[in-house]
Amino acid sequence: MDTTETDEQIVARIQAGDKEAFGTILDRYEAKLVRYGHKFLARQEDIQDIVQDVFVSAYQNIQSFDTTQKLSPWLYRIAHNAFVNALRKKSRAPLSIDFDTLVSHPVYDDPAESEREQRDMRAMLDKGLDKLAPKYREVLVLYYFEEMPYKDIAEVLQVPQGTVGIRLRRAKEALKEALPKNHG
Amino acid sequence: MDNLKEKILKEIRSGQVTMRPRAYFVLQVAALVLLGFVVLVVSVFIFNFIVFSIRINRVDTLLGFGPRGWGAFVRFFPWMWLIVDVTLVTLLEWLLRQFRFGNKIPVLYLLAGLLCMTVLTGAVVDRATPFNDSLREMHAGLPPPFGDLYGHARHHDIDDVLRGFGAPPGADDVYSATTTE
Repeated sequence: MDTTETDEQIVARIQAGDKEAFGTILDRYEAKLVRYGHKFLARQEDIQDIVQDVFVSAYQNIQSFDTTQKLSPWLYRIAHNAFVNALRKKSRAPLSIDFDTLVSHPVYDDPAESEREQRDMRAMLDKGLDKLAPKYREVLVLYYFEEMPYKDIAEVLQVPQGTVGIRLRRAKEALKEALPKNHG
Repeated sequence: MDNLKEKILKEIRSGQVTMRPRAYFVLQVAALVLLGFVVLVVSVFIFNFIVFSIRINRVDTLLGFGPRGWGAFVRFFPWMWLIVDVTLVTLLEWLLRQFRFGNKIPVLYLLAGLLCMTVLTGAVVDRATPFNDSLREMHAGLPPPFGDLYGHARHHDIDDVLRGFGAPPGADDVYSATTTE
């Protein structure tokens, strides 16, 4: 696996016709998207099929990618859409209004959490992620497991940056409520 | 996981999965921009027509006649056109969200901004230009639906209501009278 080139440089080569270079993108992102899918959908089956569809869609639409932007949010956006569609097929939930995106929220800088706080949060997430609503699960997974900054999460979810901050705060509160009281 | 990689690369090499050409995305953006422009023009025109309709029918003067006047205002206000216009503005908002910059702005703010813009532009076109009055004068020669739209813009039943409230006659009012020597 070539680690010297950036993702965007590799995509530029793919766009120029180097199909095999897509293998490097697969190497770099396959495990990440499978992990993202497992944690977002909170189930084991058919993640591989969905991730395969994500990469196929990414390749088909690779000419639409602007190489001056970061690849990661673009790819995760495709994955997000695919996972959301999978959730909708399973739950048959009616269309709902996302009130977080209707109005502006103050844009918080990414909070400087210590390594210990982050480790503790990941431990809590492993115990309680499946108890949360998908929109809270997803923002926690993107922030704590995929280690994305607010700006990138905003691009993936296509919401204003302030909405990411508020949703993350609410997600942490929901997680604390969902876990047994004696959890540290 | 190597199985997934090999499966995808095999499909790419065999041509089963191909890249969409760049021209496809350029055309997609161009189509969105064109559609957005058309929707914007139509929604500005409709709001301009709402303002024109209120003006020539003096619907706004009903508001000066207390609760009965307000009731009449609600009755004569062109609500259908307003609903159509708000629907178009909502469509325009959705179109703008297909672009990256559209997602940085909260939904309600973008919608409110677009509504303000179409309302203001529509009002300026009616009040500051002879656009509507000219079209009304030549409505017989206009193609459908504009001919019917401007031909039937004036509602004389509102005149009866206004006369009932004691409002002074407007420029277009017709009074029947008998001449005596």
